[in-house]
Amino acid sequence: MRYQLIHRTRYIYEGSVTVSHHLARLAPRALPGQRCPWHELQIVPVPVGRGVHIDAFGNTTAYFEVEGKHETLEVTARSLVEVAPAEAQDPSATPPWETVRDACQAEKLTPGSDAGAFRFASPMVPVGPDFAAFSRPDFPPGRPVLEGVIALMDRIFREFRFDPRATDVTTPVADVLRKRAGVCQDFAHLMLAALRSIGIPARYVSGYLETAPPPGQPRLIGADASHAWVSVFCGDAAGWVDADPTNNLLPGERHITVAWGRDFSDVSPLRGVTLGAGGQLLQVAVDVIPLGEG
Amino acid sequence: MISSPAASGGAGGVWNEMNDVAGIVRPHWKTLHDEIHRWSADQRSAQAIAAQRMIEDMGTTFNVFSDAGGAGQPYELDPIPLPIPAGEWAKVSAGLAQRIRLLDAVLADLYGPQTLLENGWVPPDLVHSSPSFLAHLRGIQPPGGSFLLASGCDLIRAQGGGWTVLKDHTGTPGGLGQTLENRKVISGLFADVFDDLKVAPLGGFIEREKECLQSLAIARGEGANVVFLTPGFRHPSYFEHAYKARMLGFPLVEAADLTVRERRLFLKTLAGLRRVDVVVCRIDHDGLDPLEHWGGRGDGVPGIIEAWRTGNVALSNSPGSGFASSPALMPFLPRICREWFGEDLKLPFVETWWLGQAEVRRRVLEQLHRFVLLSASPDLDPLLPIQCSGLSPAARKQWIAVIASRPHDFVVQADLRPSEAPVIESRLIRQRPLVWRAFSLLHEGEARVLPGGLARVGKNQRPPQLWPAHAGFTKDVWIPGTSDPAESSTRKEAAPAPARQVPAQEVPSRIAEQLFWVGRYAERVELATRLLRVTLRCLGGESGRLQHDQLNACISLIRGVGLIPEGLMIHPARAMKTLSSLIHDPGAGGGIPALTRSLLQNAAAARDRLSDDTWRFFNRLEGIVNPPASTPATGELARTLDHLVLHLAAFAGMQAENMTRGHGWRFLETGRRIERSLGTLALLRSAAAETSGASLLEPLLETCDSVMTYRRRHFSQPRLDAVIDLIFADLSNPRSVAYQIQVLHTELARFPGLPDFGLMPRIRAQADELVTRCGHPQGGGVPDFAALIDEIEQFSDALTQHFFSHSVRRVY
Repeated sequence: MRYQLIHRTRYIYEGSVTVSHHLARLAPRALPGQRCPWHELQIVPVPVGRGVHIDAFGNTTAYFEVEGKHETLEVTARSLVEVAPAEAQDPSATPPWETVRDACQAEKLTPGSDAGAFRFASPMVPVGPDFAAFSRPDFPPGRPVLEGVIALMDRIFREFRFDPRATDVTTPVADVLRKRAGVCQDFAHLMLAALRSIGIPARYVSGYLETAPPPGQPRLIGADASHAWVSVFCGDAAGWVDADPTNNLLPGERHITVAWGRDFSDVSPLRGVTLGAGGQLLQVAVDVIPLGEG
Repeated sequence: MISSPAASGGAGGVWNEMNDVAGIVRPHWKTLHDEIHRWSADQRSAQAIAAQRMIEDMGTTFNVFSDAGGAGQPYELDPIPLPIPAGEWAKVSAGLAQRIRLLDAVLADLYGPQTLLENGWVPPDLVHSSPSFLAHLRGIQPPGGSFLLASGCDLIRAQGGGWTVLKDHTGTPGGLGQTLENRKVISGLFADVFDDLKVAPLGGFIEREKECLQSLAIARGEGANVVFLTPGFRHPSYFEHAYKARMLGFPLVEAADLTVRERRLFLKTLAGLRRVDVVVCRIDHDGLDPLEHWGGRGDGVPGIIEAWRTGNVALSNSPGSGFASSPALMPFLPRICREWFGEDLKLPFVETWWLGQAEVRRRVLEQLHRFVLLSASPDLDPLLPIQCSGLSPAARKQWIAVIASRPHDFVVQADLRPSEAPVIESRLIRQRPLVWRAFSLLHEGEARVLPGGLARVGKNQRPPQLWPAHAGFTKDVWIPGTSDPAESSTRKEAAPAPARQVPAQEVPSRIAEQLFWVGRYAERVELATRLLRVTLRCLGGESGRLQHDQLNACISLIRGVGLIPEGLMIHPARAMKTLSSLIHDPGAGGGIPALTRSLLQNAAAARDRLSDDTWRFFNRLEGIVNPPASTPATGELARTLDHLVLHLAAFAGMQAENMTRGHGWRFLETGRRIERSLGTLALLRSAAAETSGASLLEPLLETCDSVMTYRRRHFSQPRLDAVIDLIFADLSNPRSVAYQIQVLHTELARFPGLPDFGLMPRIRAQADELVTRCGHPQGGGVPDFAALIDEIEQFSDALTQHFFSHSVRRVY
């Protein structure tokens, strides 16, 4: 499937900003099942300093500075992406979850112990007995790891309410667990905490989801949003398998991967430090426009 | 593998540095031993007091900031140095040189190709689980090539007799500044012995550090700019930072002084932005750049990591290098050293185990009582370190459960008693345990070790892992000098002379602002002191109606200058209590202690711009206003105020006579003149408003130090018009308002920057206007003092706005 992506972010500052520094992770990753033949980042006002680097997780990261008084900042990322259907994994064929867990503890670098880096606490994802207790029912002894992952995802989907008003970007995962409500970022963080707390490596994925309009209605411009899900290490053969607890499905060609990291803090689409502003108003509009089969 | 500890405790006594088992003085201690034992108890105490006094004068007391959050313990220096014999030094210095090279190589690998993990020489979990491994920085090539330029290493002499590594310091290694301060004091105190023993000088090392730092700069025509970045005066090691920055001759800056433009780093100075090539970094690396590192309080310098990543600035030590001091790495170093360098690790280390490996963990838990339990990374567990032998069975069980749930977060180290050496404690010589912190430099593959160091002394029997991280009780470390004339310098070399004065163009705007407030607060304290002194005189001595009137007059003035709130009525009978609290109560809002605190905080933040003599003044100021143990009598209060007046005059004199007329001085002077005119105007406003004005004039003249002049001119009771003439309009009176305004007007022309830029035209117009308004009043009328106060306040606001822009920073 081919898509045109437009991701517009606009900050309207209270008062004028004199200098601002930013990091943007808005360029879709190149993956075995995903190609990004074209990507462009447009910034208004025009930045004085700009650079692109690949971060420690392999994400394309753009750095820019805006200098001189400005009251708004508008960042528009446009990309062309081709996504191939993911190779379906047979959950029952994946190794028992304990095998995956133990392989991650290898004392030299293996695919498992490399992935193992993603099973420790990170800035926004704690690990601990509460989260282990939460995932335990889905991981009885000997269960194939992907079966457990699917069961956990399904339970988060069923037991948690999608409610944008319940949380904000800074809500701790422990609160999400208690409130049983949140948005995609919260469900992803919760699932990461639950998996890592029983020793299974899992990482945070940021990207987009193509949303189909209701039957008979045209696609609304800007109706889409950036999305987040998780990717779980399911042993050397299956490797990393994505899981979307917000929609209770294993992502296929409707999920477009932009970046991954330990949690949201590693992959925040647009991060900034401004000098001079009071408050700010944020407007985000995302369009995922299907262009048909490539 | 656990059976071959490099050094273990074992039973038996503790090694004594000075005496051998038979009680005979070791040869390398002989000279010092004889010297110390020549002293009587009084002399011992005098030496200790002299050392302490000198160290305080150099500026290492922390009391001022104790309730400002982030206090350290007061820093103490023992007069008896720790001598190290030549043979031991050769071994230790070779070991430390090898160690800094090894740790640098380990960092370069872990932040790069990670062959250590691939080969299994370091378990991947050890790196992956550690918050002090800054994973997001992996892949960056540090400009200059190396990760570690400087490191510290804590050594103890365990029972076996040799020096053994306890802990590395690689992130923001501290203590060298303290070491240099100690040397300056001790080499003066022991000049003769210091010469006799031909103690190795320290100056060469800091010179070398300076050269190394400068050579990190990306080649640019105009020469390298190096800055010393400190978290600020609330940090427990701030004074050490200031001292070291001055020794290196680099400006001491805070994060807010720096800005990144076009991926280059700049210092905000009064003369504009000035490019920075190298930063000596004393901010924790995870707080360096709010853009790159999540959490924190949003301080740091946004974009500095990008500037570093693109090779536009060198940061020393490189961000992330703190990981090399994780005790978890220690047990893996011998193998890495053999594999990479083809040689054994030269310095043994205290038995240390990372608990992330199941087999190691099992064996350690069997004999947990032998160990001290530590966090693998700093701050992971606020309860650690703990001495396991002291745990109750229940606590032990709890800890074992915690370790089982996240074993990779824990390290154990043998519970050892370090060697002891003599120290002077309240006139007695006592034996105390010590840890020697040594310092190394690495540049272009070549290592150099400081011939000396900081011996930290333990005041109780707790294992050294539990000693406080900052300050404490220390000793100078003496290494015998070589016969190499290049290395051994003349006597009393002590610390090297502070490097050149930083040119005015390099004054960071923040420093200028702080100096401006030093000027304002110094003047405010002086006014308060003089006014309270006058008031106090009304309370003592002869009694009678006159005194009562004068007291009321003084209270009016005190209220007029804002020392007590407008509405607060003071009954003359309670005046003594109010005065006493204004003089000594730190909680009294506008009182002298509160004003002094503000003065000291601003002065501390500009520490590296103030001479040692000036700093000595500030240091002693606090002692004067500290509340006395018992309620002071009137006489004592008067003496305190007299003392303060003299002290403040000394500071003003130093400022006038000894400070270079750079921009720093100019802002201090401006602050002082603005404050003095405001204070004097406030007094005049009260005097003019009082219907029975006459009684206020005498104390007013006294507060303004103009009684003598007035009497010489008028031979009469003070009259309002004559007082206004002298205190307000007389250009020849350095206490008059007109005089202050004249000085301000003159200095304004010398301010940095373009005369037509920003608010400058407005500021100049305001100054012109003020000069006109502060001339002799037309037709003998009374000037509108309140309006003038407003105008000067506006003038001051415009200056601060123009020169020290205040902006709020936001992170999202």
